[in-house]
Amino acid sequence: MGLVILSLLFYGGLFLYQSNLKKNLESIESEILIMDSRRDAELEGQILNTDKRINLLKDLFQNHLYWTGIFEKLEELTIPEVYFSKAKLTLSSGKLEVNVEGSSRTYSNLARQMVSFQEDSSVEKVNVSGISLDEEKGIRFNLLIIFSKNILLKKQNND
Amino acid sequence: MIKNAIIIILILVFTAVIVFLDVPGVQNVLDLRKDINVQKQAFIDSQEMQDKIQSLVSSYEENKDVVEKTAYILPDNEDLPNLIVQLEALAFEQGLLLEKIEFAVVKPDSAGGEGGSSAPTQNYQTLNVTLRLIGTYPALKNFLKETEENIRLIDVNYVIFSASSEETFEIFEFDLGLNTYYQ
Repeated sequence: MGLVILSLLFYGGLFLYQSNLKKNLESIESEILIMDSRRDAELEGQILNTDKRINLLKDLFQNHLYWTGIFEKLEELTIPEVYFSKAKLTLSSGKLEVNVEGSSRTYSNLARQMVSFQEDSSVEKVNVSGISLDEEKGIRFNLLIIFSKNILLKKQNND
Repeated sequence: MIKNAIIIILILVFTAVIVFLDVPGVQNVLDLRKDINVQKQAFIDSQEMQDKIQSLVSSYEENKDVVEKTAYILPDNEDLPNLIVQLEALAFEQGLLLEKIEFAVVKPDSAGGEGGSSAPTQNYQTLNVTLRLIGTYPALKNFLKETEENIRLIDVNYVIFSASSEETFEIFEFDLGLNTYYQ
């Protein structure tokens, strides 16, 4: 008899405990659902898009090119006795190539111009070609000056 | 004494029999307890996420004007009409004549590289713009300066210029390659 009562008590206890656990579970689940229902999915989507856009902009701005600096550098390094009539500034393999067609009155001015470029730390290489004597303009030449692309990456502080 | 021991042994045997006989019931209780722990953790995670979202929403609302500006910097489409207006205004303000303007969408595999950005995963499109401008050298420098600071992000790729006449070095023809971006 005692065992029967004990078994009934055991099953009853188990049943009550189980139903109590179920209630607890349902209560937690409904709280999660209420919390989720308060979220504004549209606004969250907008924020996610903005975040994505800001990350893209961060990358784009890190690589943003500032060309005014190179022109200031060329002006700084060009000696007054030399004129450039044509210029081609292009980016190639991480380098900035500056091809210029110029003229000067004397060969020594050309030589001084080359030295001026060569002595600057931002210049990686200087090549001269097509040197010829022109009756009107004196000495004509082509110069190729190679800079690192970095010269375009940072905004110059001299403006 | 012996009687008590027998009773205890019987109770233990009984409990063991009950437990083994009602394994599904006991298993159910154990599963429920496990589910409750999982849901409690989910609730805590959800609450933390909600706090983070709330903080993001506040920050977003406070900086809404800045957020709106990002759409001008990197628009959702090519937005050629606005770009044309901006380039014409930039040239006009510097006293440059905008003689020619062309557009070409750069294919993703060839984008970036030399044109400023080089994102490993390209989530934006690059629009290549070629311009021909006529004017003075200082005007070009000012144009480039304004382009650098233009609200829509523009990266110059190349600059080619030559004196427009052999007699004067005042007026030049400038060919410019630009990259601008959109999502």
